[in-house]
Amino acid sequence: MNLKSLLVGLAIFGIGDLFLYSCVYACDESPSYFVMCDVEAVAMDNSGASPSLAIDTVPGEAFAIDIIVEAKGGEICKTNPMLANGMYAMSPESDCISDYLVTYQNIIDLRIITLNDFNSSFTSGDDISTLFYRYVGGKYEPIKYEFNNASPSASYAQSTGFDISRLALLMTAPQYKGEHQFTVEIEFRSGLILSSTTPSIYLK
Amino acid sequence: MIRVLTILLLCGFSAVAQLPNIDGSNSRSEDTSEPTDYEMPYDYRYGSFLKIGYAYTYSLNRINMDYVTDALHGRNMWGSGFNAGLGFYLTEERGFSFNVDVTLAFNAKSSGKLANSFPLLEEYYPNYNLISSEALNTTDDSEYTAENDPSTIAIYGIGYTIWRKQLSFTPTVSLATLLASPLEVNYVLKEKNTNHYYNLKYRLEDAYTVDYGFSLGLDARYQINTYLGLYAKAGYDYIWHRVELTEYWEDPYRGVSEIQSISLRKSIGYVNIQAGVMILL
Repeated sequence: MNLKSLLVGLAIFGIGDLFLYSCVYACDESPSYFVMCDVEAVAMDNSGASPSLAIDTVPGEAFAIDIIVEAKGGEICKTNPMLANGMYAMSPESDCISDYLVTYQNIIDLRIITLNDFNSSFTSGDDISTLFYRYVGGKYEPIKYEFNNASPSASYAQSTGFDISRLALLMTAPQYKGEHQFTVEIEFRSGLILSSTTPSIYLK
Repeated sequence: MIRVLTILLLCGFSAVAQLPNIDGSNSRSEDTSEPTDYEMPYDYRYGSFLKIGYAYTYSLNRINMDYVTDALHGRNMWGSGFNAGLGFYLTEERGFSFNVDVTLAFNAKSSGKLANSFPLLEEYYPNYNLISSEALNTTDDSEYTAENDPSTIAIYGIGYTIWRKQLSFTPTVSLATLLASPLEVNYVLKEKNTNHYYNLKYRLEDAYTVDYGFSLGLDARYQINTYLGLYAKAGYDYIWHRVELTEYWEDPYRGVSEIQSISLRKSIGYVNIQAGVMILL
């Protein structure tokens, strides 16, 4: 083998290697998905500088519900850890996951149902989600539309799952003082409804 | 005295530089008719010089006026940085020597700006909790830190120089100005026992604020050769701060906001030390 043949051989090998490398690392820019698997409603006391877990009694104007949605990267809530995750880890796509997530689950409604008479307009069983807001970026946003995107890294979400937490602030105190409970329901277009109920808290 | 002032005015408008003659044998005044208790090493009468060096300043008294001024100016002003100056000198062979000196000095910075304002703010608003705060440069909305909060102190002074061979000492009296940078401070307050958050903002009305004062200093110089010298200066600056700002109070839930103008006054004393190279022009 002379020198010329050796150089040509190396060049062909290099070009081929480059081609294979580009195929493996051809990432599209499509977003990764997440799926919402469960919801938890936690009663909070926001009377101080920062919210804390509500215990027994909370001022009515400082009551809040921490709505925690348990989510997972991908399109299904439960995967076989021996197969699906392992196969995913072997896939070259694992290096191409985008840094933002969207959900294919269309939320058609988020309801916060009072289980007690709240005031003269809202009685037990009514949806009072319009009274709850989230304070973010110097503004108040209605809590209804706060669960349609998330921003953990997709690889993290895929491996361990993550929580989407939104603090729903009750901006109107109940007219009737006493024990109050609320049920949070997230309804998807598929018909799936995730729900959770807060413990009973005395709102004064 | 009138003679001195006249000469001083003339030197301020002097554009012609004459180089001093300080080479060994000729380093004394040619007038040797009577001895003096100090020596005048130069026979020049007037000229100019450029100073390039480093400066450090520190405020002797704290602002500690209220949360607004503490947030805008910091409780302590301090700083170090390059300084540059242009001066004119006038020397008479027998008895006196004057300098007119303009120095742009250091980046004066503020320490503990927002942190020091917190307790004062919560004292001023006892029914609220302070949730967050930030200070922004209003020209580009970049966030201020202790490292990028520059102000510039300019000192325009005159002094009487005493020569000791190649050494000179010049007590100076100066006008000092402080150029403060544009600033906006944003707070989020939360009313206690409620879910109501409020946005509070203070913004300096002028993009740049100029404050005035006076300065006393002692300038020591050592002449290396015809063109170069070293200088060191220690000074005390007393500056009257004037803060004109606008307060914005916003209730984002109810969509209500209030705006009012505020005028604040405070005087601060600073010590400053400068050192560097002096180039005779």
